[in-house]
Amino acid sequence: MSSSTIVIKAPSKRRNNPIYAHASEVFLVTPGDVITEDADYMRGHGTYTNAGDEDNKLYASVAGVVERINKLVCVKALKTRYNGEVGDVVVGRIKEVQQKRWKVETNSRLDSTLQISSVNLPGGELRRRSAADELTMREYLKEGDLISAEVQQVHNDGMLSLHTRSLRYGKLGQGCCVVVSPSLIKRRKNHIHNLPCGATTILANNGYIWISITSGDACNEGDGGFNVNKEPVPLEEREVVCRLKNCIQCLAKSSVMLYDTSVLYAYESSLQYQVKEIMSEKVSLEIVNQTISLLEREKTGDG
Amino acid sequence: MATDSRRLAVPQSSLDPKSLCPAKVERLLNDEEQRLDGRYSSESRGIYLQCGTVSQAKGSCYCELGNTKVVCSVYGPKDVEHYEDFQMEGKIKCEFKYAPFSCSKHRGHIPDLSEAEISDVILQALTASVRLQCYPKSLIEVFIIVLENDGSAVSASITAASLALADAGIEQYDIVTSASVRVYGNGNFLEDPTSVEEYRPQDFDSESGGDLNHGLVTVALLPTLNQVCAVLSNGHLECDVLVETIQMCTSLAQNLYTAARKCLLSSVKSVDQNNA
Amino acid sequence: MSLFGNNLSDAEKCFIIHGIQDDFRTDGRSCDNYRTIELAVNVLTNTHGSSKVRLGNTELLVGVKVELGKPEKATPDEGRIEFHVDCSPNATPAAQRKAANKDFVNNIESMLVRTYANKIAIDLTSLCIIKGKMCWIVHVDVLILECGGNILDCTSLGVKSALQDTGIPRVVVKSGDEGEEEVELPDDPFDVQHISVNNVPILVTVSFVGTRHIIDATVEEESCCSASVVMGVTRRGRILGVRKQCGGSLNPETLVEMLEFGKKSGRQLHVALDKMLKSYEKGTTGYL
Repeated sequence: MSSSTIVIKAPSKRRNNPIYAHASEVFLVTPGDVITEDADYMRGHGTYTNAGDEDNKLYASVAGVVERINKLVCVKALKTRYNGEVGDVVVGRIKEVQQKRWKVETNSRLDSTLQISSVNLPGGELRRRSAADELTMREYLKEGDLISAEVQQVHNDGMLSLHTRSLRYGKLGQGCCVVVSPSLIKRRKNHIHNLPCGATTILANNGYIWISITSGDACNEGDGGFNVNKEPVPLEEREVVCRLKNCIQCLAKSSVMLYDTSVLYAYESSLQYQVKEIMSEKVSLEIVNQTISLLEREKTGDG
Repeated sequence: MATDSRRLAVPQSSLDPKSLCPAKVERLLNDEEQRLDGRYSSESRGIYLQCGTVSQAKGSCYCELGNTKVVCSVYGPKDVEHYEDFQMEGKIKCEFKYAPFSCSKHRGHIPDLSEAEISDVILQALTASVRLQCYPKSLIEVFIIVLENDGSAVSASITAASLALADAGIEQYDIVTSASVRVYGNGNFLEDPTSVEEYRPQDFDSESGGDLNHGLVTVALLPTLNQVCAVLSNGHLECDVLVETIQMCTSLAQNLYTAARKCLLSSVKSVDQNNA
Repeated sequence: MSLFGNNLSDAEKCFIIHGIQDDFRTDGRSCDNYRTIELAVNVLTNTHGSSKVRLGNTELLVGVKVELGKPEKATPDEGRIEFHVDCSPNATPAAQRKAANKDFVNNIESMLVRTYANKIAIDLTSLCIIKGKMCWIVHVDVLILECGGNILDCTSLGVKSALQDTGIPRVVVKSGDEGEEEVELPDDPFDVQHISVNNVPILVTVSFVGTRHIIDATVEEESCCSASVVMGVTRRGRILGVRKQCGGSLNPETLVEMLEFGKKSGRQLHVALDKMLKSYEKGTTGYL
């Protein structure tokens, strides 16, 4: 066992704000601020008008950044619950097993559902769901299991229907889950990344980030992926997973946008430190600043 | 303070008459190494165990350890009360209570903090032994009342609870037995202490009690598997003295196994003979 | 005691247990490392002593107030110390029921009472003013702001710091009219005496996960642990109270190993905490 030194220190003023070289111009508003008085604009999320008002003043209803896309004005709040859209990749935890479906917790306003017809059951894709399947639902997915899925449908009240009918999705095996705010996840074409360091991350749109080792086969085995591998993970690969987890937590604390490039830069910046040191204030700020400078260099290099 | 509105309240300023007598600090071991009740330091009191004493309960057990008298009754397995408690494993609920007249000082009707703590300790001991995976979505309730407390009430309760569970037909890995040892000074271990011999901080002043070891250790054991399922200690002990005391309690609990087993077999035999 | 434990999947628990076996936990720590501890004393103005402790994600506030009262009949020359633990609504997820919350809080309170109920931890005779008539009653109130695992260790660190910081007004006993004794409080609010915290215990929770034991478990690790032992350790290494938690069973040899391990960690914690508190006394650290 390594020698343990217990460190007790006084609380220091936390400097969570990383140093950005160029701060881009943003239009920040709080509830009640007037965004525009022009009647031409269409109203989006986070805005409202006073019906009895003579000028068509557009007010903001949340605190956030104003986004203008052509004639559509909306205010994007900085911290929201996850609002799902069709095609999003989500990672969720099974909360309840109901009659023909599972209730999945996805950090959104309402719990999402996963119908039994939306999963791949062992035996092939086109197998008919029988009554026996309903009774043995718990053998496939039970309370507490983590799954990766895609949003199939968004209902009127905002509830999401998920599906795992692709080999890329399914029950998740050994690894770590980090919960961050959904607004930190950058929307990209691909959310499941096999990083060069040997780990696979799923940066799900709902803020649940899953980190695991890249298994031998790129996708789940042909039996529907419900059997998870319970073999012990070797130490080097475990170190990669834990290092990534700590890096992502540092980035999230400093509100840096999370996507594959930023996570990879943070990982590379952290290689000079030990895994357990990453969580300390000083080292975490170092890593975040290095990541931001690398990202900005890349941006100015491109554009 | 929570009070029961149906009972006549005891006046808040009432006193126990014994508190007006000057406190006597007695020596627990006299010169011939004999304790106050004539036992030697490594002598336990006789134990009496009987199953099936409470007719309404699914399973029950009555235990007498010297003057300490404990009744335990088991209800269940039955459905869980709240839907949120739904689990694939069973749940045990344990309630331990001293009867108001059982100790030398009057105890209230509502369980207080120390009784809640002991309920929790007994729950840990029983959880280690009951095969909960055989009772999904079910609740097993264990109620323990101490009728008279003359020391070692916790260890008598744990043994009684395990036998009551066995009497109710609930599957267990092993019978849980338990024993207490009082550490008195340096190198004196009093097995199975009475209530006078149990540890009380006010009996010592800091100078004389400071360097010596004083405390009470209770250990619950699964005898055939030799696994410890509950440990409780108070007082001030050096680590090696604590370890020695735990080992002593473990061997005492091991010896108790034969008596517990005999009681259980005799109750099974009597039911068997009545059926035949 | 995983009241706030997440519902973890079997595979996640597997990952955690294998990691502990390899001495490499999910945040990179080894089995005997504590997370960073941040401590501040004298943070609340309306108390006689206070402290704020942050251990990883667990944060709590401890306030100590002393009041004049009557001593117990059985111990006329001693004061009293009383503990109360509260869980703020911020710490409790909305789904928790009141009964479960009460059990959680009682668990902490009863362990504090158990380890302080002896003559070693606090010298209660120093709290006596007039024998049989008047004494100081020390109320220690703990408010849990956030629970991220290992709440007992964090609470005991906070209680020791707050007690060290407590200043009891130095009263003078005078004989008043008709031969009765009167108590006079000093004019100077800084004329205080301190309680000696040399033998105060720190609680150490040693959890048995898989096949190894760890200290300072996070919430996820607590939900994988089969048995854990809480012990109150003084600076000298005396053990003031032991209790086993979580419904699993232990080998007697493993239990002994865990007790020795806990005693070693407890003594290291005392050393680190005393160093920290001394620097506060000298005025070398602080917020501003």
